[in-house]
Amino acid sequence: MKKLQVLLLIGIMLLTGGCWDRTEISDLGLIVATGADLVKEDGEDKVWMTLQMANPVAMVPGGGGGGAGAPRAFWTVSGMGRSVRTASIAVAERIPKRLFWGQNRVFIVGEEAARRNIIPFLDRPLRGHSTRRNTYLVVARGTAKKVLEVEMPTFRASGLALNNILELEGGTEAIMPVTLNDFAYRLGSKVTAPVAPVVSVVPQTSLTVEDIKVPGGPSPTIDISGIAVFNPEGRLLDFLNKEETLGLMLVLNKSKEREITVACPVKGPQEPVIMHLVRSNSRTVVHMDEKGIPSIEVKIRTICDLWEHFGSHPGMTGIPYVQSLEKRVNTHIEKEIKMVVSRAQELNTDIFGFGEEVRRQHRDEWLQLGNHWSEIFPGLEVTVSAETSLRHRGLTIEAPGARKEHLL
Amino acid sequence: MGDIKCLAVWVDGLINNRVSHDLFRSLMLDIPEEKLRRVPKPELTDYINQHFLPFYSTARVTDLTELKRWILMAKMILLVDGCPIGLMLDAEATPMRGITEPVLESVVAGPRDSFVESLRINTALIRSRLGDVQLKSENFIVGRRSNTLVTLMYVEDLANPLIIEEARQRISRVDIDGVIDSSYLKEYIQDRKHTLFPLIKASERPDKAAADLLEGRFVVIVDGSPQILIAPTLFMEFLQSAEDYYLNPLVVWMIRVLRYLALFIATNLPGLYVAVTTFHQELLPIPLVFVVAGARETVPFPAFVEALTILVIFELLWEAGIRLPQVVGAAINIVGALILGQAAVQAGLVSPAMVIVIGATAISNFALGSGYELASSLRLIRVVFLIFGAVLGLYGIALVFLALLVHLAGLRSFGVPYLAPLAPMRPRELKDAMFRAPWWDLAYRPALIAGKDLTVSNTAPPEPPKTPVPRKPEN
Amino acid sequence: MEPGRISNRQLAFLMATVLLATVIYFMPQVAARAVQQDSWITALLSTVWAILVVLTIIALSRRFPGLTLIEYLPLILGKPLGKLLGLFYVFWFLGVGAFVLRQFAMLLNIAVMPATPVAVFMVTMMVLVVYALRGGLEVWTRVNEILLPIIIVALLMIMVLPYESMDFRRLLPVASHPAGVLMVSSLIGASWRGEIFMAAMFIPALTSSRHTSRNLMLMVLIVGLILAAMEVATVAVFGGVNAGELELPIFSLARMISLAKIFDRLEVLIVFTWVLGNFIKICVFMYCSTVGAAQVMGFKKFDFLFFPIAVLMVAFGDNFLENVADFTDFLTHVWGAYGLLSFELVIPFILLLITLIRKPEVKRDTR
Repeated sequence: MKKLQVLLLIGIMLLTGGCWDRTEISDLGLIVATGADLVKEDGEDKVWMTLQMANPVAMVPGGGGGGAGAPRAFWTVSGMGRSVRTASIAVAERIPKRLFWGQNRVFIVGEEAARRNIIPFLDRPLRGHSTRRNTYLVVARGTAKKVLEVEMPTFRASGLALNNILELEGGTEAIMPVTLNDFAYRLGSKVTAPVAPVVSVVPQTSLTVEDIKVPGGPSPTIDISGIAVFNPEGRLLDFLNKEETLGLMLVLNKSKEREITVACPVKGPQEPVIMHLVRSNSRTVVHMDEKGIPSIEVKIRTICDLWEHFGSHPGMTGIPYVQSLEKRVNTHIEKEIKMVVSRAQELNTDIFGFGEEVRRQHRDEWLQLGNHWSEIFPGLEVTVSAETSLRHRGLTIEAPGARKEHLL
Repeated sequence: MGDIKCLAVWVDGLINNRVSHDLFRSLMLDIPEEKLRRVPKPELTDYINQHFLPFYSTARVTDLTELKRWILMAKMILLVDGCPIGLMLDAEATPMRGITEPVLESVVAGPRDSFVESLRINTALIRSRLGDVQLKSENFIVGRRSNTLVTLMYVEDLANPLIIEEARQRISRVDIDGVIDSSYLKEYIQDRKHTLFPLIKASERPDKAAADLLEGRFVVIVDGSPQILIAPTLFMEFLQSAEDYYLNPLVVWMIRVLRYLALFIATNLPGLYVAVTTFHQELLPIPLVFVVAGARETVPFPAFVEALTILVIFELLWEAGIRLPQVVGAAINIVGALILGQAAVQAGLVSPAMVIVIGATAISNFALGSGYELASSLRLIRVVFLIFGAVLGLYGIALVFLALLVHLAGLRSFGVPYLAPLAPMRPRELKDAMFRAPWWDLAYRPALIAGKDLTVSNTAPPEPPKTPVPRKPEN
Repeated sequence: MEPGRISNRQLAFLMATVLLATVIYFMPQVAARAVQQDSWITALLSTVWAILVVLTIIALSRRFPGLTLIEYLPLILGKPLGKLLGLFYVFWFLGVGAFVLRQFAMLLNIAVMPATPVAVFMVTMMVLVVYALRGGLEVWTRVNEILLPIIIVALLMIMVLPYESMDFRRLLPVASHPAGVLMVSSLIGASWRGEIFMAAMFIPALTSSRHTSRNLMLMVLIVGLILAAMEVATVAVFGGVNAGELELPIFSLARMISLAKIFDRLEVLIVFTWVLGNFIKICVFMYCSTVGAAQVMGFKKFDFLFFPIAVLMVAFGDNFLENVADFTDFLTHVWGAYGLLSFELVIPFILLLITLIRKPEVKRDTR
């Protein structure tokens, strides 16, 4: 009986004084994407935080009711303050719910903030116990606020759309997802320069279906391609274009599938042949010469399928043709990588992790080289060797009617 | 019987009429008087017993209190004038129902008989399955006023003699007015005063009793109760069903995994749901968050109250469903499912997610194998999990889980650790407890329960014959 | 004093939980700050230290069968000195126990429930521990037999499932730190692993002494491998530098898991293993302090000490380390000396030497 009394006492104590961290799920402002910008206000730098929140009532069947007065599924609010945290708190004052970061998927940093220095903006998301290190980090051309305020015709929330693009299409074409963890790793290495994908607001052009058109002209939409290049100190230097991004992704082993367009090996009209990259594997080898000057060799092996021959001439049958197709892919890849390497050397920022490779492969020499890597990198000799094998041609061999032989 | 006076005593209604009829006929007509006269008077009773009552089980009674008790225990007593010995005739014919299918432990495969209220028939059901000379039974009479016959059965060379001795002592220590059902006895002879868990298994299946006797356990049968007691009992047994041993072992393995899942859901799900939705919302995948949050928007109560309400309603429905006559049962179903459930959800008083959660809990509660006893104790545990989950989140649930484990690990059934063979871990026995290996692989009895002889079988596993079976040439 | 009987397997399981409960969570951070990507080597090196501890303790227990560490201290050193050292040991159990309790509460506070006061976690856990201890040694060792497999499976999942974010090239270059640095950094880890010396308090309760040292050593080895694998996983995901910057690397590791939306958000596992493992660990410390205190003072029973020592432990825990910085500082700078280099290895080793030289008279225990 005495035991029971003790139990009862504990129970009552907990019930009356307990429940410190308790919040009903419906009282939460579920943040799905966050944007951070730097703005000038009265000559002072201020952080401008934009939070995109879900309104679950509108998403449940029968929950919000239909019609014109239906509540919106997402809403976007902004607030200003001295830091990321104070700016977010400023938002909290204006919404009827409790801010909840546990479901935040994307963290967008505005261009201005990134140019100044991105590190202060990353502290809070990395430190906070409810945000995750595998949140996607994206740099916005212009302001993050503008990106989050875009209302997508089909998907409503640009933040979630961004998340889905990065999650589902990461590694395809020039979409290279970067998480806070990846970014922090590169910052921690001190020589490898961090990168992040770029999102920009673009006018919508290709949507013609009447149903999803928003009244008042074509609405803007978001577009992810390209990479923002930082220096190891966390300052945004420049943006890489699509081709350069593709090259970078090949070196970093981030390309999962993409198209490589080469010219048809047959003499005559230069017809495009679209090769589909199925797998690629890159290896960075560091060579040291006698004087202790390193040079880099990037070895890339890829497997491609032939997916399209946009033309009317034959040229896909026979080993020589296949070999010459492979060779063309090789030169294409080599050119792409050389381009991005020279761009990075121009910017003097080691986005490939070559420095780290030197450290891994030649630790003793690195003790000397490491301190002035920024002087060595622009003049670093980088050679690329690509080796491609063509796997399939698909279900047909030549383009329809392309063969010249006549029926017997 | 000529000039010798006899007295037959019985309680009307408890005695087979044919027996009394037979008795009187043989006493009055069959016995030749001249023979009787030659017998000295004090030996008359024995003489009658030896020569004229060949078909009845009889016993000599010399003590008057014993005699009275026999009368009240549905026996017939014959007294002969001048003879100091009474004769007890077993002519019992207590009113009783026939053997039916088990109610609580129904199965698809396997035997379908169940115990009844008569001790004699119950022992017969067991003995007909175990024709072993070593199967012993000991009788006790328990209950100062009810004088209930209690039988302890065990296989002498399989059971652990220490455990049997302990059982003997515990049963003979019991001193109450009456034992109406075996559950009276159960609470007296179990190892712990307060516990939610059944430390002695009650069963209505003779096949289960026989199988358990073969594992070295003992069985206690109480006259008048169709539920016999089996001990020592382990926790894992409540997640097993008699049928497990009649079906394909691989299928049983899957079923058992399902039962572990059911145990988890039945105890934890409401608490876990409340903990996750009120403390750890980041643990839910994003589409689920939207669904749960959206559904909760109109609910006026906190999730904890909501869960508790539906749980209470479910318990009420359960209770009502058992007590009500079957004719009215359908009405309860309609009221419960349609009116309460549907209307509450539509009115926005409870969220559909919560109804699903409690529904899954309720179903799991009954999917625990032979665990009706366990199922009824889980009702309370579930509420404890719910309360702590609502107060301290997942940490609270972990606390309750630990406290429960400590409690379970401290329990013993006739000295055998309740959580065996999990803790203390006995890998060899786990393959019966966790999975159910094929019979040829279950070569050993549980060592903590059984005595010396641990080998169940020496048969090698079945193998296809090495040489092809000779066949008759076709045509 | 009859504390109950446990089997060899149960003792090995008990010690495994004690080692796995905390070292896994903090070691990657401390080791990575010292030697970055080579932290897994220190995990392996510290195994050697732990094996030394096991050997010493077993050798001592062989000389004094049926006696606990506290009981044979006076036999080796003479009564006054032995009792004094015994008292120090009791305070060590109490202090480190309080530290474990505090760090248990701290992780829950940092990572899961920031608004809940630390004391709530400490008090509720202590209530549970006292409840378990009152059930007897046998009961909570049995509980541990169920908990340890759960803990190990959960740890393995956390280790393997973030494979999508792993890059094993982050472990290169291997062994770039000088051997001396690696050895020194292994001491901190070894202090945790050296907690296995508490087996000396349990050896008299064993049902048989066969295979005790083999079991314990095997267990130290397994824990060492798990720990090394965990550090490999941590460095592969976060990189050597960042792993040292994480307050709770394993917790962060669990939060990196995101597999096909099914194995997602698995930090629940961490919370659970953390609570389960620390429950046993605090039980062990509480048991050692109460039994030790009773034996130093010559009491035959120790049940009545549970309550005062529990209160002491919570009080110490609440005031021991005021903040996380103290905490990390303690782990990096004090713990090595306080643990392995004194109470865990060096003192028992000296005791063993004295025993070997002086060969003190062993009073045969009647048990």
